[in-house]
Amino acid sequence: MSEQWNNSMTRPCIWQQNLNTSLIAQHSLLNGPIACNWDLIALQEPHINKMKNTISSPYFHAIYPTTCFSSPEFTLCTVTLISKTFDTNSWQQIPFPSPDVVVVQFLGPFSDNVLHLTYTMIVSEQRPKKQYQPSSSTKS
Amino acid sequence: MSIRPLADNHMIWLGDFNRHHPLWDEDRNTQLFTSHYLNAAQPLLNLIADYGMIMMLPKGFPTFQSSSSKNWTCPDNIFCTDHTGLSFISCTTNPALRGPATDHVPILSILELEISQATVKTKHDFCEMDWEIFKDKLKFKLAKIPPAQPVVTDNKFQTVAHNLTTTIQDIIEQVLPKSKPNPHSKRWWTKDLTMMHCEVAKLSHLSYRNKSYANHYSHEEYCIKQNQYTKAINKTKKEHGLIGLRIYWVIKFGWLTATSQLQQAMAAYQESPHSNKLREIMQTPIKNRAQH
Repeated sequence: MSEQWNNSMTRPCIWQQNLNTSLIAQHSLLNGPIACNWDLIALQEPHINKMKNTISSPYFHAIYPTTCFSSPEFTLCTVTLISKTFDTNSWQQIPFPSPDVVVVQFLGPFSDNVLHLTYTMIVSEQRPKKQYQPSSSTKS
Repeated sequence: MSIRPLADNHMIWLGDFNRHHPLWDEDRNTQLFTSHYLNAAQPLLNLIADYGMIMMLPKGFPTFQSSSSKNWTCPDNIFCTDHTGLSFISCTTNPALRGPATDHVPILSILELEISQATVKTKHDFCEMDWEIFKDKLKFKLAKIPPAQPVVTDNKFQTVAHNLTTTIQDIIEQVLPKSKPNPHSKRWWTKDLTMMHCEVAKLSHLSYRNKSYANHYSHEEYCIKQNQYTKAINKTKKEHGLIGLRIYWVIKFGWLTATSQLQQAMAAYQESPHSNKLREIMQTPIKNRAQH
């Protein structure tokens, strides 16, 4: 096994771009010589295939909006790719009632007191192609 | 679950907000500061005020070039809570990395916040070895070892083996490149595509720097090179699909029986990888397939 897990820390590098749903643009981004330098890739208008999946690689966790399964009729406008080199205990997705928003919460010793864990939230927001109407239970 | 349970938690909003306002757009884009656009941006401004967010991308950094008018605007942005601003090492755009078939420029941010990470052991990449250099260096090093003599004792054998192993390993450490774990590549991605990617990035940067000069040669060159890059990606991917198709037919039907049908299937695949014609050929039983 080539991977070895430890508690080393890294500074997150974030790439944010609107790809105009282009498959070529997404291939170029993920396979080019620069992708390995970025830990978080927040994509607006990613390429979505007929199975409602995006293009990624095995070394990224693809984070879809939490409504992508409950409301599959709405076009996905955002996907966040998180490098698998991040400890999976250090982040989690937070449900958000919109197909255009991905919320990810990172845990780490970000404050002066190391024992006190604080949070980082990354939100990818994108103009909806089809207006999403939250259910009444969500509104309350 | 609360998104931001404590006041000192950090919060960052990344997005293509599709809104225009003098706060982030260049002052020259006065056509975007009409009441229509300003009213549309008001809900975003209200949210920014409610959550005490600050804008991290400096004003006037264009992130979008209109495909029709070629005008640069700033619909993409980054906002964060005020105390998170100190954690940003950098937040900028890079037009050189725009990539093909998109009119948005990436926004690149590096944060000072540390997150637990898994490290990966580097390995030797024997595929990238320059064997001529390896041979020359090995020959030079081996010449320093005492010449070969009959090994008569166990100690002598161990010493000779140790010397030889150490010498080879030293040369490997010196010459052999370490594999950079870049697992993002698809199997069909080639070095030529990577080189084209770099060329397109250079031209993109040049074109952006000369954006004020509409007739600058770099705009046309960038456009041509970008189209070539796009076509090259498509072609390489399609050819990889053809190789996979060929292997599939050879495995399933044997080379001789598959050859004529394979030609039909390849022709259909080249027309369109998802065509009904190809699907029909693939699904037709082998006995009837010659009729196609």
